[in-house]
Amino acid sequence: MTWRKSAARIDALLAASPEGEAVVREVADLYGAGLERLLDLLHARGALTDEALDALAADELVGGLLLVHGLHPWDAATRISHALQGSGVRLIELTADGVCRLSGPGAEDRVTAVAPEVTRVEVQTVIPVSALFSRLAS
Amino acid sequence: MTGSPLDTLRRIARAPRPPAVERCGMCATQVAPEHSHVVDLQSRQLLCACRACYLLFTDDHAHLRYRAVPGRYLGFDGPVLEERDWDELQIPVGLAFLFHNSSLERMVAFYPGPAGATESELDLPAWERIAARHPALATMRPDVEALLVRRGKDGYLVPIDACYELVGRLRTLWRGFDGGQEAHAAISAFFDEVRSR
Ligand SMILES: [Zn+2]
Repeated sequence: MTWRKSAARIDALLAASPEGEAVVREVADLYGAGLERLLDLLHARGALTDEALDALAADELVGGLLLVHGLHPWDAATRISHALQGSGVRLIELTADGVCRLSGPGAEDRVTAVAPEVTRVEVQTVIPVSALFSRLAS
Repeated sequence: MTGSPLDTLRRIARAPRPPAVERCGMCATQVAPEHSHVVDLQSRQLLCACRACYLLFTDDHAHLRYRAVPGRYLGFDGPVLEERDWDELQIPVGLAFLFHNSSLERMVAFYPGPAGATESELDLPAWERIAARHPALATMRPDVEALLVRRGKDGYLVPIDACYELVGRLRTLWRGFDGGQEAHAAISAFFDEVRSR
């Protein structure tokens, strides 16, 4: 079972019995504390190099778990830019109140997956010059 | 907006915590944040107790599994244990609590550390010497009251649940061999509280 299926299964189980949230919270806290300790121990021994930290941050599962526990080393703009790689869409702006402006459509889900602090995704629409002229002409 | 498969975990882990409701360990009634405890004499565990359940176990001489922890605090003048006592106890940290364990029918000594409380040998002549110097120790009740002492500093007769609380606080702060700075700050703060009682 991949981690995605695991996560979906947790969602389904909690939807069926919401009282399970209390247990999930305790278990999540325990694992979060474990992750934090793990990073501390590595850092104390100089093993948490920039390269190692970036590899952890860039991994979808590990990075996602670090985000769950507020331990992700990258700021939101870095996380978004990284997630947008290969999509042909660029991050134009991330405002202080969480509005994320993208250069084009089709990458909104990539943003919300890595940046829970984003409150709204706006896609800049560019009207081709030809359309402008035809509109003026009509 | 769809997000990460881990959104649910994130929501739960980041959600504000509802205040924990504490319940009586005997009858499950909800108890106030300030409540009494009883000691399970078999497991040495503390149980939160409502007033009614607490009162069932206040008799020291009853042959019951549980015993109510009293609330008194008593100060002593100067260090209660002398340097020789500490040396004999072989406690690596300058902090210990001593109480009479009625199941073992002897005095026991514990000191805090990262794993919780560790027992240290306490021989009878050593205890008799200490008790002879401080007559008030004769009133210390078995299992539920303890002598809490700092090396070269102060000592108090305290409820046993206070010792458990101190051990609990220190367990998470303890670093290295002697506890480290944070643990020592917590010890000072705790003794300040005890002194004010
Ligand atoms: Zn009760």
